[in-house]
Amino acid sequence: MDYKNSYLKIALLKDNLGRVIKGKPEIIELAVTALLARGHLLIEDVPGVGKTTLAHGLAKCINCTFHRIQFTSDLLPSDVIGVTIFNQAARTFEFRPGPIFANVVLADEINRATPKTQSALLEAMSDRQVSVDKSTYKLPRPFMLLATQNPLEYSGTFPLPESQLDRFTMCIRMGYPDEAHEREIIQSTSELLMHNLTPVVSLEEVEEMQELAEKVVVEEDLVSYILAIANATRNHKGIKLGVSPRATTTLYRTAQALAIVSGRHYCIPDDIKRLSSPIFAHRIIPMEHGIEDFEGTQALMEDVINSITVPV
Amino acid sequence: MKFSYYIIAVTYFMAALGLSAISLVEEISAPFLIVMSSAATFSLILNLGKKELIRGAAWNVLAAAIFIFFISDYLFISESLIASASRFLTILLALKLYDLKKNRDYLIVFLLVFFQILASAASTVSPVFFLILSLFVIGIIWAMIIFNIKKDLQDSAHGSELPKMVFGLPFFFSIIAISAVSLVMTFMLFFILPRMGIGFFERKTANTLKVSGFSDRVDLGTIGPVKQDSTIIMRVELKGKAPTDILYFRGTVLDTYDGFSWNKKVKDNTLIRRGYDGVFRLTKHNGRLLEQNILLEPLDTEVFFAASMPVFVDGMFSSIWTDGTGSMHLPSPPYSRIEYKAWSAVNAPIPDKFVKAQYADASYLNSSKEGKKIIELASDITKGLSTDEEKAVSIEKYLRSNYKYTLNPAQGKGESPLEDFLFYSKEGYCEHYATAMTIMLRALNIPSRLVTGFVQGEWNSYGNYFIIRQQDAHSWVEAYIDGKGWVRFDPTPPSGIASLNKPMAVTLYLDMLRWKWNRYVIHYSFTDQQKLAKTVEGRSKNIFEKLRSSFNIQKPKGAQYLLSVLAVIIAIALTTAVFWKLIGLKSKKAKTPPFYIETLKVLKRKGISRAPQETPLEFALRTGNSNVRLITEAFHKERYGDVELAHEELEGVKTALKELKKRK
Repeated sequence: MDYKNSYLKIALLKDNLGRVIKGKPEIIELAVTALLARGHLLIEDVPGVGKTTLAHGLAKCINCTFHRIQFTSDLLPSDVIGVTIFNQAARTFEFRPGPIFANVVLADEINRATPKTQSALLEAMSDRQVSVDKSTYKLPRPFMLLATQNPLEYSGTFPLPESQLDRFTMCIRMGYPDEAHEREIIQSTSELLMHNLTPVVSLEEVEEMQELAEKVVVEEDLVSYILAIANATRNHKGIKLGVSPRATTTLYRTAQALAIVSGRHYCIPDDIKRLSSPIFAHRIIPMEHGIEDFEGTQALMEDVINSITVPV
Repeated sequence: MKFSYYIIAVTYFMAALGLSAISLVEEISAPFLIVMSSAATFSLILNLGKKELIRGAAWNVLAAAIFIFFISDYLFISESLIASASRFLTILLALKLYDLKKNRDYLIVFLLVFFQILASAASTVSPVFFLILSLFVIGIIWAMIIFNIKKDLQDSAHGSELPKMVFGLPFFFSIIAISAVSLVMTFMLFFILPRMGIGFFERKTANTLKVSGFSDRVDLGTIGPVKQDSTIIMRVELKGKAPTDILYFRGTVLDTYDGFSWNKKVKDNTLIRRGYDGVFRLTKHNGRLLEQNILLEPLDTEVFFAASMPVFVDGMFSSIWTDGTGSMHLPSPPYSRIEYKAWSAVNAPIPDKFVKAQYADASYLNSSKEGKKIIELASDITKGLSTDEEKAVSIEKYLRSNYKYTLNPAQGKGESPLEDFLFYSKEGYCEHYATAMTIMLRALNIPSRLVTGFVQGEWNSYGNYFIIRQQDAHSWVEAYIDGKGWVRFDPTPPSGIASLNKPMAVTLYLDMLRWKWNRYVIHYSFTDQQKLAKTVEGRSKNIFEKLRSSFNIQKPKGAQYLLSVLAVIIAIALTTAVFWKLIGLKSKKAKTPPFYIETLKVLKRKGISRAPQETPLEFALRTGNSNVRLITEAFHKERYGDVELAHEELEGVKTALKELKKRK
């Protein structure tokens, strides 16, 4: 599969998703980009803006298994990754996979679970495998985790630690649809729409596109551009903790994926500039308390990006 | 000026250099050069007229024919690789000038010129070559820059017109500066790189100089004709100023005279090997020695020269021979220039224990008619004198004052040249004087012999050396004085020794350049490198001493040393930094395709400029111009995608750029 073919497939995928998530083409694009970059997505928004629909829709479009886990404070790791039980008939211990064993997993309200449960996702997210009782089980491929969290309601929540946040490729916000689109949403029957969604891309094709994305050309100067942005976050006056090398690697891979999504076999500075905010914003810790929220970090990142010279 | 004319100008400049380099090759005749030069000039007229000159296929056939000619020239006609290769290259060059179409053709011309220069380098020692080489370096750098620009222009969207700056003076100056730097670097490499003692290609000059008077048989009257020949035989460098006494460079000693010619009968040749001190010792002598550095042109005799009387000789010889008379010769005539050192005891008599019979042989006098007259004359002159030395001095004086020096003595009625000289015409040149004195001394039973050689030529004060030419060939007398040895007498009047014409200062200066060129470039050796290093070390030490004394710094030596080392490190670091910066800027510039730079310039003129934080795409969107959008996409492809733009895309960019320029 070459990049022109994949561009067509991706256009189809975006178009299909656009039927259930109206008026949010950028969000759809970012979600698809994260998928191609073998990444995970953290969606931070108030309830009812279509976070679940995005996850469900994505899963339906690529014809894969989809599981949804509702995170609550009494959720245990074994509820997520699975449990080993004793089979009386065979007289052996057997592993019963948890809901994490799916291609697309939606972890709803992830910050409601205890840190113990949250951290159960770490291995799954980075290594795409889970370890239970000295045994390791591979997760299905491709694997993508979409987590949501409510930015307003903090009581009874456990905010995600830095290590956990660092594993999410992007943190995006859905935002309210504009009036025209909202009108459309009201008038349509969303369940029916979801039901009628047909798969347009196969799992194999997704994997092929992921492989293709890894081959995208990133010019040496663009790598310098990424490093310059990363360095700026580390030296910025308003930022206590800059981004990690994992973050810069992620930006590199994701920019490659965005190039494929845009129908190119090479990166341009715009890919990096556009992705740097969604990828870096949730990873930095601002100096001042109170601007730790989405808008605050976004503004800091804007400030950083606007201080870096673009290589021409 | 149009681009094509510019290229043609550069190409013909290079071709002219190639032809002048070939003109230095001795075997190449003038008519050949004239024909080739006029062929080249004719092609220039045709090239300016832009006509189809020779078709590619025809050129190939001609080139093959010339190659066959070259092979046969090498094998059967000239049998010299340099001569035939020079001819081959020159004909090929002249022909190629009729086939200048593609870039490749021009490059072939430059390559041919390069090979011509190589051929010339292998066969010439003329300093003019250095001038041609320097011009070639400048020319080739110039041409390569022009060609690079041309290629870049063809690749980019600019069209093929040359930017104006190429015709400006700064462009020329920068080319000359670049060439100068590369020349200086080459020079430094030449002097610094360690070298072998012997070159890989020992040059063999076919045309050795013919000298007379140094064979075993010398006819009377052979030296006369060469007295008008100003060909340089050797150069003798001395330390310091010219000595007050005239230097005599001994060649061969002749002992037997038969009335018309001199013969050499004494032949106890002895092989002299290099001594433990690394030099050849010829004789024993205590006293002051004159050190000479001699550069001898290739001669057709194995005899080689040093000021009389040589005590030590040092040079690149494996062995040297000397005969019983103290003259030196090599195992075989040298076919190339040789350079050697000699230490001589000037004016010292040549020691000899036994006097051979030939030296006192008066048989000629007895057998010839004029014998009696000569004996009478000799005894007349020496009447009343007792010692041999007094007698010799009086004969010397007599000949000097009573005979006229001329190169064209009149034919007298005497039966032999000697009779003519002594009794009839009473005029002649050194050979006559020396022969007359030798014979007269023998008539008085004083052993004597004739010596041929050279006297010191003109002194070149620019380089502290004597230039000795054919015209400085001379002959004189050595008489055996009991208790001393062989003492030199020169009966020729001083007017016959002095150089005929005083050379101009310019000639001397040019000769000095030639001498230095030969000394420091052609014969530059490893020993010289060691010497250079030592001189530099000494000089720098001196400078430091002077600085220290002038600033009156009395600090400990360690600090001083550290300071100077620090200064050197800082200087090196600064230079590196500057170079780094220059190189860094250059490579960055080179990445951006020229059409995008042009676009940015056009937009800037219209008041829209890209902020450094702005990506090209954002900028293009901000301008809201579809042409800018198109150009930016092409730019993305080339700059970030490493894609070479297709022809249609380039055309699209060109038209977009034109559109952009048009609007307001």
